[in-house]
Amino acid sequence: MPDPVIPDSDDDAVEQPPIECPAVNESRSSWGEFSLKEDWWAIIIGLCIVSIAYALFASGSSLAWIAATPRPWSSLSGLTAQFQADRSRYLFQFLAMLSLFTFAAWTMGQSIAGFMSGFVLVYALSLGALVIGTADFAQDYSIEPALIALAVGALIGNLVRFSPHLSDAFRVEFYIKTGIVLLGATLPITLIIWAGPIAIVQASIVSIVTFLVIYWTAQFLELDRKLGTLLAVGGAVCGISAVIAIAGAIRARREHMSIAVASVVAWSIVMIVVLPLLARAWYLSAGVGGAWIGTSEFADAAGFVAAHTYGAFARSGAIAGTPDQAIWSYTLLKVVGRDIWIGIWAVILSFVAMTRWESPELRTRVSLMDIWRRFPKFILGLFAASILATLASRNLSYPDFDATVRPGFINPLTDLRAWVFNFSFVSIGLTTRLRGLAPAGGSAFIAFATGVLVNLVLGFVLSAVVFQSYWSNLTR
Amino acid sequence: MTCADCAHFISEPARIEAMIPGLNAMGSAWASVRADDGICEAHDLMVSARDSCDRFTPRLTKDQGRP
Repeated sequence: MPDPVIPDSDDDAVEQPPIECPAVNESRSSWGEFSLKEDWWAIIIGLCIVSIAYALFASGSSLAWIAATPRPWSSLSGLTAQFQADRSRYLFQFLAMLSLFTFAAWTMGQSIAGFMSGFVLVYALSLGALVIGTADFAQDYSIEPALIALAVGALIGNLVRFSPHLSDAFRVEFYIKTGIVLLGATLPITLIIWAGPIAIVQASIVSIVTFLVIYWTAQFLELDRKLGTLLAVGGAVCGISAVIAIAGAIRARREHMSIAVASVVAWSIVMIVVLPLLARAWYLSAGVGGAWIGTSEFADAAGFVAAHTYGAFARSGAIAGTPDQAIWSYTLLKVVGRDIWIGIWAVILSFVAMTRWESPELRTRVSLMDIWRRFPKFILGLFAASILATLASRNLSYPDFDATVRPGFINPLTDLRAWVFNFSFVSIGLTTRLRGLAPAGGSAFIAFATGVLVNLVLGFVLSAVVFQSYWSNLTR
Repeated sequence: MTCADCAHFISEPARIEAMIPGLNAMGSAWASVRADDGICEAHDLMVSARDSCDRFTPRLTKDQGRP
């Protein structure tokens, strides 16, 4: 496809007096992109942790010491004894996490003091969620720390008004992307190669159908076509990330972005509860349930809460499969199947907007390079971590893997991933204020809800019927 | 004379998040998917830093603004 360009006509520009304002220009250098985007920092932090874990494992040691997590407990005295024994591990872990994330936040232009203060709160709430989630009563009822973290964060976030600087540390996406890179180390590249194409086929079918349903419904209801497009990509592709990417690609109005963001946030929260309950009611296996969540949830972080919640049913034996299968199939569908295509959606829609809808006041251009510019780079970290972990366990039989690689390399990374994911889940709660969202009018609600319904049904049919054998049998 | 150099162009992630309620709840203005886009205050649109228009107003740093 050639790069269509509408020539600049700067000669016609009306001369405007200069305005003094801070010089912030992150678009000028590739180093600016590299240091200012959280995707790259998620890769750096995630791969640093994975590499250190591998180096220690290869030298006969392990990262397990720093990967402290609360163990199951049934009495306060038992819990106290745990923390007395592990307090230096938790302290070191906290300081290491604080240093890594604060350095990244500082590089991205955030306040060091604000971020550090906020991170203390995020870490403390995550610890609280993990402690409650490992209590006997929580395990008996399959109440996952993920759900507790979300609920605790939402309770505090809606009762307390935090200073903007403190909120700097409530970075849902940054934490979830770092967690996804760590997840790569527990997701064998062979599994990605085997199930990835199926995930792409399934996700593409659902994404295209959902997009068309929402867009056509919006057109039928006489909504602005750019608003219809934002609602459609928010429901069909990858939630708010898609709204951000496509809003820039089609030069959407700010108020339309706000409506699309509000729709995605509200429905993502609803789906955190609805999807695991529906899947549980039909006794879907962990892998199938995870695939359905990956197909029908809108935001990455919200989907991970739902997938963790569903995986907990497998741990308690209420459904077939393992918690890992729920997370793996979710990740394959959501990250590999849906997120990865955002750049292509952006270029196609940008071309349509430029040739058919463009605002006459702007001179715009579209380039195939936009596929890379808008590519969610953290996915590269997922693949890199997966390759590294697969190499670490090459030529090992399954019993050997279980005896050496799992305890020495995989389990510490899984524990650290649980922490980082919980930072994200707590942050969802702390930042989600439904009353503060832009009001999505009746027509926007109907258009999005229609897409949700179609997405749910189609996602179920593809996950539980058409590709059921793939998702039920995900294994290392 | 592109949006990147225009005083109406807002590309700072924190300001973008503050202008779109709910954006930081499950998304981020620091994400790669935003590329070099920002909000044009003059048109109230999300635009690319490489766009341009007739309302371009040069952005000056504080140093450049001093007499």
